[in-house]
Amino acid sequence: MSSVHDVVVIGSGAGGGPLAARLARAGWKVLLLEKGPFRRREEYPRDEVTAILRDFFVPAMPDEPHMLLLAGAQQAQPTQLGWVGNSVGGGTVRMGGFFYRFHPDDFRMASLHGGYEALADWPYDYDELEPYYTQAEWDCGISGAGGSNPFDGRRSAPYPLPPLDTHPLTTYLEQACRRLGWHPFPTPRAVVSRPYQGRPACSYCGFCAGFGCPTGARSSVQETYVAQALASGNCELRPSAMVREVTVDSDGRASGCTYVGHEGAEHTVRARVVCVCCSAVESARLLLLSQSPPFPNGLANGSGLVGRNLQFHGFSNGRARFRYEKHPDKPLRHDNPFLECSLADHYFLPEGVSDLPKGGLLRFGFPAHSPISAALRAAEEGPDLLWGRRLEERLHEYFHEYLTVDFEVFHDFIPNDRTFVTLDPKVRDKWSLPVARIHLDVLEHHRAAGRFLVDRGLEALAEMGADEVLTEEIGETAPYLVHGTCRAGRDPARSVLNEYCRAHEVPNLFVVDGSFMPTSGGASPTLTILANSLRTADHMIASAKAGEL
Amino acid sequence: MSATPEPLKQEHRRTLQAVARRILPGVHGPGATRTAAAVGAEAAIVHPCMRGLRPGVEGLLGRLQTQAGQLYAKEFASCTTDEQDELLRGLEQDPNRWTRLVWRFLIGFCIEGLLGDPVHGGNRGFLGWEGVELKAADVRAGLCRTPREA
Repeated sequence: MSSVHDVVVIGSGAGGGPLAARLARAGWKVLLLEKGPFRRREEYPRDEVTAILRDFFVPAMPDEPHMLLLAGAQQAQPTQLGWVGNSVGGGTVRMGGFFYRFHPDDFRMASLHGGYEALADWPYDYDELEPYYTQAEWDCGISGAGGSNPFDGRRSAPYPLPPLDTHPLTTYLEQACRRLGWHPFPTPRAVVSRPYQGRPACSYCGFCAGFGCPTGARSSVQETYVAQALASGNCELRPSAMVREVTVDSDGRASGCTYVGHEGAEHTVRARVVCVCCSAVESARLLLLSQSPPFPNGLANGSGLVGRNLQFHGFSNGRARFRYEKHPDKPLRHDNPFLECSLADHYFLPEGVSDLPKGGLLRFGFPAHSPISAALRAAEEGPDLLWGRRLEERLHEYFHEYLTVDFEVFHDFIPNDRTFVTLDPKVRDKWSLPVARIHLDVLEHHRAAGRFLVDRGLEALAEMGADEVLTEEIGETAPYLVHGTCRAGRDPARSVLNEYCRAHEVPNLFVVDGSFMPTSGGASPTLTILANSLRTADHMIASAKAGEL
Repeated sequence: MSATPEPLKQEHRRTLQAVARRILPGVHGPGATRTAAAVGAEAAIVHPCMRGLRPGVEGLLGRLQTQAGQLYAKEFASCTTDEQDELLRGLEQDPNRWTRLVWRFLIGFCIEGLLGDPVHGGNRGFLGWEGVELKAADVRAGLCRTPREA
């Protein structure tokens, strides 16, 4: 059957899900295409090998690698860097769900810090996004304590749910932070602490980051927006649909797309509006693959900017050991899996730390419920990778003698001219399409900021009474937080999208995921991507009503 | 649908089993022999999503076999533990980054065979989990299995 949809949304994750829901509830006929499969809650494995160490959520590297070319290297290597999640709900089905808002200054980095590398201002400010932050928090049922982070921007509403119950050690950590003059606050989580909109409250099973939620308490886009979209009766979901090209009409407007279905056959769909929401690396790749006479270098790429300004997230971390025998007074063996405590006191760096005074957030927690990953981390602790008797001794110590508290630091990945996405000239995926090549250069600032922030985390844990504190990684690149390949801005010569994520060159094409973000922010970006998606949907609805689409 | 993966050749399997026994000797834990960690490790190596890495692992196992023959005139699995450790230290300290990376994966696969769910072949009788004080029910079903009051 041949029909024209009001909109085809390509990708059902943090960008595509809210868009599909908002448009479908407004009466648009939405076709939602997702490369990954649809899985019910009970289909998510609780087995670490299957869920985390294989290709359950991300493609097998031999089938669909990204190729990574580090600055200064001669040869690109296969990598999983930049894959977010191939599943209905995208990467949100396996996320930790740390739903921070960005700080108002994150929206004006160029104005504040001048021409540092490729920094740019966002085409709108925090106040413009604030209502959508609130909407997304209420749509998802965020558990948190509004107003508890004194460095947050203005809030128009509290969180809908109170914070999750926490391990009693959280109190010790909060007290330690306060003694240091800092302001700890409960980590806002996309995990419902009370029954919410038909979903059960968290059962505290510990199968969180890295796993699919077996109860539906985690607010993945599958559980929230995709469910809303389908319930509207206006959205058709087609999973296991690999889109290979966005098609255009002779007048240069997007006309739909072609995709390979689960059965291996190629399909063509037509739509009045096309939204690309495949996450930053894959959205850029799809546009670059969509070459046609009006767009010989890729769709909406007359400026040559598609793929440029790729950003990940700066990532650093550390941990501490609390030996059971030395802390008989502390409830180390309590079974609550959550140590919910964050710090934003170092979102901005003091003078002298780096040439850019931008820090980030610290999030404390426990290592994931994953014994293999924990054992590997233990084996890699220190200068040598352990094996043999020393490995067994280390594992015995790790699992028997102390509790590990860890923390991760989210800090900005600074956009620069050396970090971008192209099509790989040699390597093709299992559909014979060129894969994405990631060109990566990590700035010294990432290491300076990461070092400072990790030292603060270690300071807090030492103040709490840790027996040992350890630095793990400094200034690394978070592989699944991706942004920036289709920068939004008001100047078509310097951006791919306008302030509503609409392509400057193609009036009915939108790119709605992390791709639009001019800068990555100092916090994990998922909530911001959801909020921007809702804002974009409202613009589309208004534009259509005004006859401008 | 994935085809059934091709198992390792017998000689590679014997070498892998011997390597696993040196990585997890069972001095301070249940060890590779009791937990069948090499079975879990082989399941990881031959999994279709590891097919990019598999030639490297097989090459490394073949190298151990060759070196054992050249230096000790016997196969790796028949070498003394000191001889085996000497050859493994050679991998650990190899100037080639790729060799060291594959060695790291091999250690990881053996840990997977120790602490992965027994459905993958290792961790026989849950001995791996018991050895690190994890209860099978906790690992499989979660830490807190009783729903909390709303």
